[in-house]
Amino acid sequence: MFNSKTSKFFNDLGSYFLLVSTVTWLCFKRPPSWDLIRDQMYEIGVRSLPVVAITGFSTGMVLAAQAYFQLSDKGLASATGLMVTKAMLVELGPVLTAFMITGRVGAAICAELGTMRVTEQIDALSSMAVNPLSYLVAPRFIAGTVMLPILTIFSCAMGVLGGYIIAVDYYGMPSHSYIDPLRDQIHLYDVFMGLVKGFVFGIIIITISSYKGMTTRGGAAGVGRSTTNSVVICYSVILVGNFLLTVFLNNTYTYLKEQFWW
Amino acid sequence: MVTQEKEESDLHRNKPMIKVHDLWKSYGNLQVLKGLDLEIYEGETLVILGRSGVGKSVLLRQILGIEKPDKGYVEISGQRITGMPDTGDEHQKRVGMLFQGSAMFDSMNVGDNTAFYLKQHEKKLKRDERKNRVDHALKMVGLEGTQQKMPSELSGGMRKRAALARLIVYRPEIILYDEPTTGLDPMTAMQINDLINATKKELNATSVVVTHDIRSALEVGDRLAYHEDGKIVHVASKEEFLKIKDPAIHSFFENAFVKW
Repeated sequence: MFNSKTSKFFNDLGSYFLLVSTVTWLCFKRPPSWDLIRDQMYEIGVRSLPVVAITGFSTGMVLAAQAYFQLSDKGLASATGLMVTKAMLVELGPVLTAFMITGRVGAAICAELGTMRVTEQIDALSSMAVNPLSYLVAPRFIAGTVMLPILTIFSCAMGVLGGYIIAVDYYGMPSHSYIDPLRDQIHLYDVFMGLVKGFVFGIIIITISSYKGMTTRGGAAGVGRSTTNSVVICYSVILVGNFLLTVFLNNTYTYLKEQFWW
Repeated sequence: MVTQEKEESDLHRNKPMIKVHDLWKSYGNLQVLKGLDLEIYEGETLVILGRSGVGKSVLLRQILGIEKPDKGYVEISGQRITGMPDTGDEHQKRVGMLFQGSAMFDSMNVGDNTAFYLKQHEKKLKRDERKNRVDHALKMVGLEGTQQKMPSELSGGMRKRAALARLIVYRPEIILYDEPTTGLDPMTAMQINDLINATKKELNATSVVVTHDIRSALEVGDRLAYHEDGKIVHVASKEEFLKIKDPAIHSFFENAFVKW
């Protein structure tokens, strides 16, 4: 039989999925006001641009430096641009962006909602006939799912730019050797993969952070515990989710290619 | 055993405004409410006294409708409430609560906090009209001119008064007060008591006050109730309540006053 920890885990899991389904339903049935969504888009998207830019740019530089260093003596230096772009679009861009947003936005959401919970501000909302999920979580959910794909593509673009600067300006690779392979080898599906991963990671970050915040108990110490837990859970779910998404999207690509002769 | 003291007063006692019937509530293994029954009449102020942890605040949350009981029900004006924390519930628009820690929204200034309900539910209200109602509510609690201040800039007493203004502005029929004077100095506590009385007069509201503060209880209450072990064990008018011969109440009163 289940022990108490297992039972609590499944109880939490059920409550989490209930929150996700309720928030999704609320987004369509009773959409939050544009003002609330706009504020969250600014907070999640615009204010994350610097950190996402630095992450993408430096990752692109490292990838290019490493790729050029490893491949040049084998005569494959011209694959540097392709390697950087592919890696950024389908794997590193989405995952690293999601990690940065978890640290910057997810932790803040959890801490803010957790503080509101322990200081009875969420109860105060309910007492004034305002649904806390509709007022607090739904705008973040919409903003997160819209902004994460955009941030992911922005991060990839910064990565490609960083790689270009290192490969062309530092290692002296011809500019066309970096760019030309991209035209043939980067498909729309690669961009689609990045966007889908960004979208899914957006859902994961916002809903886990919100759930942990909304269920915080135990004062300031409880807020700290919830925030730490939400960050650790987000990182773990993003990594496992990334693997599953990669397998799923690759299989989908193969299937579509076979069916429709892409 | 529940004391059934009869009392005469000018309150309407025909039908209770709030009826709590056989209410049970537990958290994990902790049984907090154990078949609690209570009736609160229209326009009266009922003060609930009792030791910490007996479930007084839990009872308020049940009346407010933001928690679901395990068993039993709460009726407001004869209408049973479900206890589901969902918006659009007309019940929640009729009931307001002053929370123990004030629960002012940190991210908004006092003016926006006070106008919050009106912005959410009375969207057709013109800006000037909304401003007038906010100004009136803040003036009533003695906080005129603080609209632009953030809650963190206010003292504990001022935050309680601002939270009360946030209630006054939407004129609920029932106001629940959770430890309104806890943590305040005696002078500020007195101000809050006066405000509770003034609010009752202004809104003609039915009030339920949960407190440990005996002086506050005697100041604002029409009737007093004693909550012990998950149940209301005594309810009576102030005068009758003081005559109850129950060692628990005697002990509660004795320990509340400073001995010289």
